Amino acid sequence: MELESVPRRAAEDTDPSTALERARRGDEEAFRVLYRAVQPGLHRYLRVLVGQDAEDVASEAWLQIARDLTSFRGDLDGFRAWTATIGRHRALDHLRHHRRRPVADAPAEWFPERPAPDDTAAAAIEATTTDAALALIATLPRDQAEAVVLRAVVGLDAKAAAAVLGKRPGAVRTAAYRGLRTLADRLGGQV
Amino acid sequence: MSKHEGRRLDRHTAEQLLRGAPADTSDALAGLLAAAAAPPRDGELDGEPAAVTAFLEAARHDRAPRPRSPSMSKSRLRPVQVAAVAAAVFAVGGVAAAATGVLPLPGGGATPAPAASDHARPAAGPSSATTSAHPGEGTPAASPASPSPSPTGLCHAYVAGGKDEHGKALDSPAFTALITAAGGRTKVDGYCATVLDQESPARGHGVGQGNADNGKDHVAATHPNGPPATHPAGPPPGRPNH
Repeated sequence: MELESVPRRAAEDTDPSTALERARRGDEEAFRVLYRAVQPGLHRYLRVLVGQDAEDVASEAWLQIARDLTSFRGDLDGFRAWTATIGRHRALDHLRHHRRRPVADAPAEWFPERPAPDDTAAAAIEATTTDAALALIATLPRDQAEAVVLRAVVGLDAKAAAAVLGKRPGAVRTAAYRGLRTLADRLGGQV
Repeated sequence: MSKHEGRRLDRHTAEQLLRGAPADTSDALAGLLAAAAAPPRDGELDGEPAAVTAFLEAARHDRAPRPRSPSMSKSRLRPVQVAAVAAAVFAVGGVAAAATGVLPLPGGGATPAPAASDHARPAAGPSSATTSAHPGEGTPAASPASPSPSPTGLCHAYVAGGKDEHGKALDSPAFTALITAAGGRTKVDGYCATVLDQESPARGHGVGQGNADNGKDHVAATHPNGPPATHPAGPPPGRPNH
């Protein structure tokens, strides 16, 4: 029995879905599993909103997540959405506090007819780094950037992303679609 | 539309890309999204120790005996009493309320001295926190231009009333603003939990910082255990707000 229980325990320990319930009961290791599963996507989402301050904002978000975890009900997808919501609130607070615009709130609208700014697009084409990709996504209008990142990076479906953004799923689908089209155009028409 | 387009990205393909499914087009775009969603890199998980510390701290609070004073929990405040507390809250910030037309922002709730500096700081903190406490609302119900209602004091009064009394307490006119701010009667619990939660920890400070003033912290900390459906940060399925 002992021998059998060891590997099963190990598998449980790294499965974020089961970790959620255990973390809610106060299991530290389970919380770590959740953190590692959720933080990268959350951090990248915040990058698009607050740029270099994403780390600070993510820390604030995790303080709240840790405090309120016991009140959360739902599965791992719901948890991703919940944490994204908290992160978004912290990010918007942060921007208000510093009186700044979101990174992805590009002052000038992007016109698909125009050629892409060479520097950004070229960088994104060649460097397939996460940074470059996020930087290019962050040049989209904010609603599109948020929709794209919540769906493609955080991993939410349209409905969950809509809940995070306080919009209807249809609006989020459209925003994400437009964002992707613009990105495709910016990537030099290599669609 | 675009002049250089070869094949325009259609919605179906876009949806596939957004789901991370292999799509039959858009190599560059698929590569971009894959890069954006690449596995975690060094540095992205640096906040883990701090998050874990906060988690352990919260778990410790949850296990600790409920700090609510016996007199409070047994003899629940009646709506009238709650209204009186709320009235006191209004009195403290009355000038501010008269000037701005919104609810006053008592600095600490417990400290009655409305020094100017006490008002200045919370006005930036909790008020911004409350406007964002509702994931379903893109814009708060109140006028976004004016300082949003931040009835921290009302929440204190509400929480002090004891859980069983909450439903009845909300019938009191004093809490109309609170219900409005929370976005509905059923949301007041979660709303106040968030508001009071925001209030205690020093902004921008690290883990364990909020521990110093356990008094307030505990009141807020007991609350997130309330009805889960009302939690403000939970993903709300289809809000009718828009």
